[in-house]
Amino acid sequence: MTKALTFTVQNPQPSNLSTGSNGDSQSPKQKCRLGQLEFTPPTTTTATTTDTTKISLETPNFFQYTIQGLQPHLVPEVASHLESMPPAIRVNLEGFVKDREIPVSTEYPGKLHQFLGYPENNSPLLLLDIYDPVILERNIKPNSKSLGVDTEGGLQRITGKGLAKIVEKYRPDIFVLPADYVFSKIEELYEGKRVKKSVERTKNWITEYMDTSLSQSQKPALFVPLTGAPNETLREASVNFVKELDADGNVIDGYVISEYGIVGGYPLEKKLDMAWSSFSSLDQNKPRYMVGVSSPHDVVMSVDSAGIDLFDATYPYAVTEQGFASTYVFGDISVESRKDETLKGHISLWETPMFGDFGPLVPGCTCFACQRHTRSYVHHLLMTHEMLATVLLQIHNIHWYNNLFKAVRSSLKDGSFNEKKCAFLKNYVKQGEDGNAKYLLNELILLQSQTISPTTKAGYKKFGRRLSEDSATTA
Amino acid sequence: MSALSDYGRPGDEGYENRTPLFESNSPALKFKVYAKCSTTKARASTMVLPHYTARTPMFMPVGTMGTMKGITTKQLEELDCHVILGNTYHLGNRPGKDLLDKAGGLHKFMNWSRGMLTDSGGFQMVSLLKLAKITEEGVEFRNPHDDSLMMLTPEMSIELQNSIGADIMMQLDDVVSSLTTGPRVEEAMHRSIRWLDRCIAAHKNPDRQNLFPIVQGGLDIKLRTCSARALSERDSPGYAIGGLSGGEAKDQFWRMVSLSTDILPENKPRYCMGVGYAEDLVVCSALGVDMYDCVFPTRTARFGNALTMSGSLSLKSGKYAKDFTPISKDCDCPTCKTYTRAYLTTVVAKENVGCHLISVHNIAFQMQLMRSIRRAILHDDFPNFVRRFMSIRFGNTVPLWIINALKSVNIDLTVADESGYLATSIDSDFKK
Repeated sequence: MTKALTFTVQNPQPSNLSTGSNGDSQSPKQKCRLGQLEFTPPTTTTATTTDTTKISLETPNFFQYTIQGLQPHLVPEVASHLESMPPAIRVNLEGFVKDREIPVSTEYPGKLHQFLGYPENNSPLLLLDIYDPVILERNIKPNSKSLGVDTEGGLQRITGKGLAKIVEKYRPDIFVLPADYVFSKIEELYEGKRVKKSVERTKNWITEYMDTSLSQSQKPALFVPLTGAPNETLREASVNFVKELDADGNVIDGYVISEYGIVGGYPLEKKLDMAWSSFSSLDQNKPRYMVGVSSPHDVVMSVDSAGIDLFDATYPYAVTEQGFASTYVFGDISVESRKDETLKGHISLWETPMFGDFGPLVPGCTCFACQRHTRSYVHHLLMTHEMLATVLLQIHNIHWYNNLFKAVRSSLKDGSFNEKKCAFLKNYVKQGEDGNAKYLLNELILLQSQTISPTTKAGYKKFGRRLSEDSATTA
Repeated sequence: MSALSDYGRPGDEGYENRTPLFESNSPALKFKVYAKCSTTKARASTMVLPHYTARTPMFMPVGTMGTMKGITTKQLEELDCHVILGNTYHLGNRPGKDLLDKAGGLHKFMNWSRGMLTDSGGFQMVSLLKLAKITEEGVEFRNPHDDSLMMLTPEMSIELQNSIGADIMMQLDDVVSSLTTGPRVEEAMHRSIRWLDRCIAAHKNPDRQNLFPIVQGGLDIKLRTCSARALSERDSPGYAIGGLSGGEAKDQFWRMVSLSTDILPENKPRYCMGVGYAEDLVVCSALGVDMYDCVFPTRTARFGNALTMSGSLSLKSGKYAKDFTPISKDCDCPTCKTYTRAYLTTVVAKENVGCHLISVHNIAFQMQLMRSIRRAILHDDFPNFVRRFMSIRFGNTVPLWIINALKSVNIDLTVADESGYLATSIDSDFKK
């Protein structure tokens, strides 16, 4: 039987500049890569064979971050103004969990795609993961049998068996297997005990999930999280478990590296080194999905230093929630009419000079918000706590984020990636007054230092606090 | 038309190939009445405004700050909104007159190309600012931003409304609560007429903006009659019925509305301020009202309540967690075409986007209801429509005030119709 999900790695053009900036002189091999993720939806009973359209995704790319299947703030008729977005979405299971292990919505007769409002013959590639990556602080008390989910009504436990039942009902296209993520401070990570437990529990939960799903007829493609940081032996144990699981190469379809899993709490370079060391002994032809790291700076670095193919795209949402519009450019910035703003990476719509500025958010931008509305109007909407502010900003910011990936892919195709990466880092990594590097594009991944959009509901919980203050930077 | 939903479908409502029965031509407003109900006082008309030709009876959603609660102006067009409201008091604070002048008016500032109506700002003074004091000069109030004493005069209200540039402006009136009695009501009524004349004198753009007077007089028949007569003499492009919807008994409310429509000129549009519940829209249309506004549909959406013909659904409660049907199977709004009640339950309490989904439906619901009213009038089927509507909304027990109001325009719900529907009255307002 042919697999529904396939991934093809296409080696990028060799570049005349030197490889990776992480000084990995041992491996002259370029890590960044172009790929093609293809998905053939299963034929439905109602649809004729001609209706089955293949979903195709060029990588590096991202799964659209969604809240219950929707772009943050955007109802479908508004999101429809976004052009050439990747036809792939990320759905967080915890958004559906309330007071029972198997959510009520599993009783819906169709697939999760249809419950989320997508038509049967025109759904995006749907990836189901458990946790919402924008929530960084949790109190979920996992144990050897079950993981925990924070709900409005308190803690809800879910076992590997429960997950298999949920997945059988929801029928996502891709399911990210459970892992005992360590949502805690870096010091605890260094204590081998907690990490050791995490690797063991992950193994147990996945085994229980796999055993339960054996008898199920329709199975999604499976992505498996790699765990075990910071301990080399434990990382190896995690990799060995994955190898065992995927002995015939047909069980696992992709690997997940997560901010709160394997790489949490470390400087980006260290994270990427650890990720790479895990990848290097695994199947090179499977896609790599990075969760919890999505700023443009970190995307470029992750593509470059760990060959990451897929991202979670929470960054534009964080920028929106703080009342900012993205302006960063990967590539030639000489054509930008407001170079000063391009070099800042983002502009605040809260600022007083925006009051009488009747220009678009970014001159020349083709998004719905820039085509129809002005900075002055968005400033007014923010000042008056109106929800349309975040609607318009999210349209712009996700459009802009999509442009970044387009630019990264085309530079990988024409061999200019290294050159553009260097210029990009030069533009957006500055020397701070304290002598440390300042990462302009990582300024907005936390809410704590910025004014929070008045329309943000769960405010401080989301994007709340990183595992450590500097984890977002490579300092 | 068999089902109630047939009345509300999109497309021509019956205006095509008709000539107006009568009309009025003001410099910035042409009102053409195309059909009159042969039983009630209802009429279906068009109102040619500088920015858009609206069809009436119509409901105007309220976008206080130059935006409609997270809904884009493109969506509002797709939802068939003809005219939206802006609040002068709020817009005067933010973004302020100077910026609106620079932007070339609110239409351009918010990118809305259809009709717009602004209130005078007086109502907000009284409802928001406890320290407001009313003198012959105007409304004196304390600026909530810097605590200084300020004054809103009829001239200032019009100056600000001229800067906003709405198709329809409202006069500054002396607003008293509809529960107030005694000489204060009479004083307010007379003062409102004097302020109207000052507003008319201060109005700079009569060629592209319309100024509507407001009928006052509380719940007093004599005072309302006097007000309506005095205003009618001014030959304004249209008239508003004000000072109601403030907690008075519904049985008094409808009598004041009906009295006003009896006196106001037949060839001019009539606007009943602050009305938005479905049954009120149906009853007031039967009494001859053409325009309505209310914050209710969008406000209640933010609390997770979706409007239907038979009442509102609280999607925040777990009640609909397993209900895999749309809010309304007859509704053609994007939310109902895409989502189930169960889905909406999972998103409505959590995120702004959940509110947006319900707001879209609630605005669409109001627009569908108004389409059905217009279509029924144009097909001279309005009494039949009213009976069907009441049977679905209330069943066999209808609030007394509705029975009374409809009886006054020759629809007797207590007598069975062809379908056998009849209602008895209950002495309370509709609460669900």
